[in-house]
Amino acid sequence: MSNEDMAVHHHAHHFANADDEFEAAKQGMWIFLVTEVLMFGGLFVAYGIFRGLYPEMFHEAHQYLAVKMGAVNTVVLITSSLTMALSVSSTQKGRKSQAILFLILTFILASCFLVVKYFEYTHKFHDGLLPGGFFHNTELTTPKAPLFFSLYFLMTGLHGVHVLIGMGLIAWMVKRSLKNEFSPQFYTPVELVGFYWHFVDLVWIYLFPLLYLVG
Amino acid sequence: MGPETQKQHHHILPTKVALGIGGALLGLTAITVGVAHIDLGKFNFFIAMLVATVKAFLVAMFFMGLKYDRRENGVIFVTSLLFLAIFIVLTSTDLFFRGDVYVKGPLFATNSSQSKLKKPWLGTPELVKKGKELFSVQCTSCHGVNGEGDGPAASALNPRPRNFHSIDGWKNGRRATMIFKTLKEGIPGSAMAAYSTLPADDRWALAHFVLSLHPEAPKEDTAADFVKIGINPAQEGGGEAAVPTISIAMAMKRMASAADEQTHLYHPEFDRVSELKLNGALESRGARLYQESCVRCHGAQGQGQIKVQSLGVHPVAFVTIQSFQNQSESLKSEEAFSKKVVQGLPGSLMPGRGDLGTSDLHDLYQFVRSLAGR
Amino acid sequence: MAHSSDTENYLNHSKGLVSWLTTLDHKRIGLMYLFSVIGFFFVGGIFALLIRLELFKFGGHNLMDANTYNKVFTYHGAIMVFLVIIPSIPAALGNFILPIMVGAKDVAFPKLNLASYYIFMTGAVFAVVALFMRGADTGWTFYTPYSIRTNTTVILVLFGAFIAGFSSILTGLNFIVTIHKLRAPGLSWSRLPLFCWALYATSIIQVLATPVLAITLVLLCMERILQIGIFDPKLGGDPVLFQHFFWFYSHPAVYIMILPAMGVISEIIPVFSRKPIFGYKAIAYSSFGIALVAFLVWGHHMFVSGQAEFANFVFSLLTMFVAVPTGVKVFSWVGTMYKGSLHFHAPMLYALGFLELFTMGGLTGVFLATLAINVHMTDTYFVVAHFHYVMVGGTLMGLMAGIHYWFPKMFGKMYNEKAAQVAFWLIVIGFNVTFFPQFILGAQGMPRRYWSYLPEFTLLNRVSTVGSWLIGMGFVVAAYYLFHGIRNGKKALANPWNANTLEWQTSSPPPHENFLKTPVVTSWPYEYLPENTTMPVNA
Repeated sequence: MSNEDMAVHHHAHHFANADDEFEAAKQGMWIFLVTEVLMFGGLFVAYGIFRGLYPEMFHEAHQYLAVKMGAVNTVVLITSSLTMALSVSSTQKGRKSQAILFLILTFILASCFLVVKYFEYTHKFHDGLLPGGFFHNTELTTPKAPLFFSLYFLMTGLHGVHVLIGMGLIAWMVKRSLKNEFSPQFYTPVELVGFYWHFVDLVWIYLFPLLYLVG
Repeated sequence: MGPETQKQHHHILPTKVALGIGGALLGLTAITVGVAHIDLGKFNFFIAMLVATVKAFLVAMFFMGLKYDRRENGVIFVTSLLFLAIFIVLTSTDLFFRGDVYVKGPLFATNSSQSKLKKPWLGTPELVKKGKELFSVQCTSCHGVNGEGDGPAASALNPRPRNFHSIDGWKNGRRATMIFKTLKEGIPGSAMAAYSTLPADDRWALAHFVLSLHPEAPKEDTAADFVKIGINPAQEGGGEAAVPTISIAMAMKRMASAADEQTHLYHPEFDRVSELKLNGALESRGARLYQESCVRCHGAQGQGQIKVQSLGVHPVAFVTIQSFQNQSESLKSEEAFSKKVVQGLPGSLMPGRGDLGTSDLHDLYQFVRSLAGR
Repeated sequence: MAHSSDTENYLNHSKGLVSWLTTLDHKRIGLMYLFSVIGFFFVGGIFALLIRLELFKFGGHNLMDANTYNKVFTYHGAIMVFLVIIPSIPAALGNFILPIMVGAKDVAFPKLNLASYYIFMTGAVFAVVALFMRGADTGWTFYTPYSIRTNTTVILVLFGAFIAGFSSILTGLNFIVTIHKLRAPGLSWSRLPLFCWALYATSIIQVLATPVLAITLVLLCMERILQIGIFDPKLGGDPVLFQHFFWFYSHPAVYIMILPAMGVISEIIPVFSRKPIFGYKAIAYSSFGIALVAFLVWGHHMFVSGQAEFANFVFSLLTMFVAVPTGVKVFSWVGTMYKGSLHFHAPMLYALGFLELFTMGGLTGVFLATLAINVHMTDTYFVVAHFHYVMVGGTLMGLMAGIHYWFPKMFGKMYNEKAAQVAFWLIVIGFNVTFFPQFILGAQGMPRRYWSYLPEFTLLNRVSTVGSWLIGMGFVVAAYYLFHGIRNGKKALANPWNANTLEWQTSSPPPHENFLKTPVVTSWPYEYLPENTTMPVNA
């Protein structure tokens, strides 16, 4: 147990006790994640339809993706999920500096993910492998191939935006941790940011095989 | 909330477990990347999805704590996946069942020319019964309700449809194998079509029913008969080879779009206004408008003879566009021409171009007149 | 338990504009939503009057050109759907009443609630700003490929709808957690009032369906900006896919619109019949039945889009099922009134109006679900009449019923009952005069969204326009006496309708924390004894 001062958390007046507040917050987060499932889900439906209609095109087009970079990113994101989980459990145990360390590690891993993504994207731009109407790669001539890249940029792009937002949330948690706002009795924000981050990992767990490992 | 439940819902994930799950996730990633390099055909996709789902399950249960949490939250999360499934399944009832899917091939191709019976050339009461049902749907319009060759279409046919109650006149012979042959190939030179698209068992059933219409039993099939129809009686089902077929929609499309000597399908290089005209001082603006909007149907010299597919017609139909030389009315004056272009031809393939302005129409008119030789 | 409104209540708890704009009180947030929604209703209503004025064809003249007409009906639809009908009952009445009805002090996430309101208004601002630029002329359904190519300011309107959608999502999220976690002691699931059940089912739909709208609008924006090609056949995509995406949200959206209204009706009819609600469990379950089927039927908007025949068959069949839980409710309401002691105050009048109009709208829905009929009726005025009967005759009647029913609770004052009756008849008669002819027009073949029509349709169009003036007058009268009532109405009792749900067990208006003491629930809220027919109404 840390011997630093822990700020005392007062639960909101409309809840009977702090525990009720925690449970409500957790449920609210799960419902929010439901909305994220449906939002990303729309893109997965578009993917499913077009892959079902043009399987050979998907096979051809996916070969222009950097599978190694995708695999690296998968490892990075999984590790960041681990560090996030460890950060939450450290907070629950009252180990503030450990918690902050893991949060920072998560942040760093997230930025690695984005850096790798940056290189992937610039490579695509250079090769003209762009969405729909902007596609101008001369090697890949399978009809409708630009559609694959539209889906690629949409899905990884939306995911990337969520990674960026996650980084902001993690930084915010670092700030609040430093100010002693969390304790074994109150760690709800860290838990909820953890859920968000794990969800971001979940989406990538499906994106990676669907985009990079087609057949 | 009691202290026990409190402890449960504030469950702390032990570090060992966290590391273990992390390790498992990395291991599964390695597996899925590895498997992707092995060609397992359709299974690659399912294995990848299975591995991904296991990974997702681990993240949700352990990292997100669903294993230790109230069931409510897990139910909430799973519900979202259910509705996502509804979205894709019902959308698929449209996107994967459109008419043009059949041009590529139906979803589940069946080899309908293999018989499922051991010796279908031997008649049984079940086969006769099945044959009777099929007969009433497929054959009565020519052969009549009772198979006497007096169906409604029969009066127009020469030669007339076979009267199955008579013992004479069977073109290929009154034996099961021969009737099977007739059904498979039809009788060239008559109205008897080939029914090869019917599954083999259906054709056997029809054969036996037709044979049952006369009290005299048919002769037995000889070895030569079997050879004639390509059936091996020693093999179960006869071992009939699969007949390669294309769907009716595909066949019609090919027939309809086939160009004859005078017509052709639009070809971007062939049907293109010459560079000279596009860049010439005179008419170049009209030429460019024509190239953009008209050449695909009317041709580079306005000669037409291009086959254009009608939209919304099922299965397919093509229309041959006529030459401008034949269109004296609309080319008489700029006003008549402009009206035609702006309004299009309602009920035909020619669209209205209400977005063309007066100067556009003027230039276009000059160019089209030059094509029509005025 | 009656307290005079001179005592502390949520209205005088703190004063000044800033205290309202930064409030975390669900009651104040509910009122802000209510006034915003009413404001947007009048804006959308003006567009409606313009449509009908154009279609009157005074002296055979056109009031506006065709392109402007397209923008007018687009705005009428978009404003009414996204800024009025969807938020109205949940965000305005739900926000105010739900926490009190479950005996809580507030919703689960009050700050999120306030954020919802500002998000809603931000979305509205985008849509309105677009109006002053080139507007949008695609119809509120934004079908591709026209929505990709038109050079109106579609993206701003899409963005506005996108943002407003998040308001809907967050409200739904808030309500689900509130109902799960903040019920007062003794308020078991079997004692939960039907308005709460209705809001619960609605919230589930909001949370599941609206995110798909979000991604759809994003995809459409990307299609316009980046030419991603998902909906463009030239680039390999499919314009009908847009319709699947759009209607996957927009069909459940219409149940977001109607379920809360049904909840209001379920509250009002037992009170004004002095009888327990008939079929409580059935009504509660049917709300979820409707919510589930809502997600299975969207393709019935696409029967003539070029969709596969198989899909047409599946969706037509599934659509038939929605009539079952709906019928359960209608019969239960009628069964409640049977042998009841009916009181025809304004809330009950609107509830009865709902029964007539929604039933007609719902039955014509069965016509449209039938594939063979739909093929002829699609994109005609028959469809327009159908959805106005269910949306206006359904949801708007429910909203008016709820506003009148809870008016004394919200403001501590009574509205003028006589004026309310006048407004009601103007609205209901006006509504039928406006929209019934449209069934006939549609069956005779008049297409919708058309700026002109064949001469034989003139008479009915003109009749319809006159009806729209009656509706307009009715709502102006309603606005007048309602606002007058807020300022100068007779003081109201805590429980003027002698009802049993929890909101009536606290003062009118309620105190800041809703109850002076946390209530404990000991009975089902629909125990109305036949002898107990007193309805005091006035203090």
